[in-house]
Amino acid sequence: MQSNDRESIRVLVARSGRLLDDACFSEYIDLFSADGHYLLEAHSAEIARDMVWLSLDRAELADLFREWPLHVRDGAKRTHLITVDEIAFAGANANVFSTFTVFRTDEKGCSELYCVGRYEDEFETVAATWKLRKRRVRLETRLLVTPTPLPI
Amino acid sequence: MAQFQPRNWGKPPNLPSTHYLDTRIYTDPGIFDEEREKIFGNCWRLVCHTSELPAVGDYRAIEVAGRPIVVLRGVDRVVRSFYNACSHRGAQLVRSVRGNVSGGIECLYHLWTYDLNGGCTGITRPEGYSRCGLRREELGLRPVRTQVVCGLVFVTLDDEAPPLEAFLGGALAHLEEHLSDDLEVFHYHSAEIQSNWKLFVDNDAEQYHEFLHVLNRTTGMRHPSYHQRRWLLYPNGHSIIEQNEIDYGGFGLDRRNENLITGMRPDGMVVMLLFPDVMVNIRSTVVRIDTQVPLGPGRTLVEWRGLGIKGDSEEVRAMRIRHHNQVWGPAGRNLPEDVIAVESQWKNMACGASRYNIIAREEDLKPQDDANMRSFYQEWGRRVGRAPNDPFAEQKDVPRWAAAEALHAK
Repeated sequence: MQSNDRESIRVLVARSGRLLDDACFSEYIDLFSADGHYLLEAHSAEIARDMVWLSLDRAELADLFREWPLHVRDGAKRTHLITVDEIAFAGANANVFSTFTVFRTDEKGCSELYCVGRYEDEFETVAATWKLRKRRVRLETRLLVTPTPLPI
Repeated sequence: MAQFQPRNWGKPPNLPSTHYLDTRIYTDPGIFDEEREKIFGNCWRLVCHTSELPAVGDYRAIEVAGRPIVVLRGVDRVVRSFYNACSHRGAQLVRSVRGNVSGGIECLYHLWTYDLNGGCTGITRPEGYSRCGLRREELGLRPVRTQVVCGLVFVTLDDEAPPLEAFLGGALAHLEEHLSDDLEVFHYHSAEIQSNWKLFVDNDAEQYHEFLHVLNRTTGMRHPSYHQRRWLLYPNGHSIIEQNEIDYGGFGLDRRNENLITGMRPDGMVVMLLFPDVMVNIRSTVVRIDTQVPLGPGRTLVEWRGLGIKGDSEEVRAMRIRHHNQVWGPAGRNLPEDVIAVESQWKNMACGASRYNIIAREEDLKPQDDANMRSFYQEWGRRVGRAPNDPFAEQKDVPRWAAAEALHAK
C-alpha cells in the first residue's frame, strides 16, 4: 500500500509543476483539499527575517487565476523540474519534501534559470485520494528576473 | 485609403522644451557616468531604515554611487557610516549585507581593528611603523555624512552638501506626518531590471501610468477622490501627491479601515517622491519604500521595502503583510506589470526606436498632470548640467529650461 501511495504522491508533486507550466489552473486548484493553503516564503539576508510573499487559500488561488488574463504578464514559459526528496507517512497524512528549479524560456527560445527552492507539502487523504492540505514554498532565489503573481 | 504621412521622426516634438525628453538621457553611457557623480555621488540618499539596525553594532553594507559603505549603530546608539575599506591596504571590512560588529571591526587581511566610531584601535605589530612615525589616531575609517529622519537613514558622499533638512525642504513635513509611528521593515526584496533607473522613477511618479494596472483601474481610479487631489511640488525635485481613497471592493479586496498608519484615512493612499530615487507609498495600513542602485544605463537594482508598526500583534502584522502582498512585492499584482513596462521602454530607447518622450500633460497639478515629472527633470538638468530635452546642446541652454519649468510650477 505504502509503495503505491509513495508513487501517487510523487506523481502529484511532479504534476503540480506541470499544471502551472501549462496554465491548467483549475486542475492545479483541484490538487488542494477544501481547506488547502498555499504559502510562498523567502528569507531576507538584508533584514534577517523570513518573509511571506503569498499566502492564499483555495478560494484566493481561484481568484488569482481568474484575474490572471486581465494582467499585463510575462509571455515567457516556465518549466518546473521537481525532485521528491523525502516522503514521511503518518496515518492518513504525509509530509513530503521536494527540491525544485524553474526555468524561464522566452519567445525566442532562450532558457535561463528562474528560481530554485524547496516544497514542504502536507498531504491528506480525502475520499481515498491524496490532496494537498498545505504547500509551503521556500524560495531561495529572491532576485527574480521578471516577477510574477503566479504561484511557483 | 489613408496615405502614409511622412514626418521627420528625428526631430523633437512641437512642444515647450520642458514638456518632452530626449531619450538619450536614459541610454547614453557618458550621461550615466555623470549622473553617478553629480546626482548619486552628492545627493542625500536613503539607504536603509533604522529598524534594520536595532542593536549596538548592527550594520548594513550598501553601495552609494559605486562606493561600498557600511552603516552601523554605535555604542551611543547613533547611526554612522563609513567607507567599507580598511585604512591600511583597502580590504573590505564587512563582507555580508548585514551583521553585527559590536566587539569592533577587524580587517580580515592584516587584523587591524576599528571601534564603532570608526577610530583605529589596533595595528598588528605596530613597532614596524615606529620609524616612519605613523600615528594610529590618524588612521580612522573615512566617515560618510549620515542623518536620520523619521527612521529613514540618509547618507551623502558630499561633505559640502546642505543638511538633509534643507535638501528635503517642504517634503520633510509630509514624511513627519506619515512616518511618525515606530515602524519596522518586514519585507525586503530587490530585482535587477533591464532598464534605466529614471524610467522606474518615472513609473513611480507618473499617476497616468496607473492605466497599466487593472487593479488600479478598478479600484483607485474609479473613486471620486482620484481626480480631486493635487501634486505638491517642492524645491530639489521632491513631490507629494495628496491623499485619495481606494475602492478596494472594485477588485474584490477587503477594505483597509483598521490599524491605520498615522495620518492615513481608511482606504487612503499617499505617494511621496524624494529626489533622486525614493518613493514612499502608503496604502492605509502599510508602507512601501522604493530605492534604486543604478548599475549601468540599462541595468538597475531596485530595492523594495515593506513596513509595519513595531509591536504589531501577530494578527495585525499578518493583515499588513496581506495588504502589502495584494498589490506590491514580487508576487503582488502590480510589480510584474511595472517591470515589463519599463524594460520594454528601455529596449526601444536603446536601439533608437523611441527618440523622444512626452511629459506634457497639464491638469492644474491634478494627479495625471506631468508637472511632478517636469519638476524632477528640472532638478536633474540642474545637477547634471544638461537639458533633458536636448542633453548634448551647449550648457547655456540649461538655465532657460529650468526657468521655463519654474514658471509652470507656479
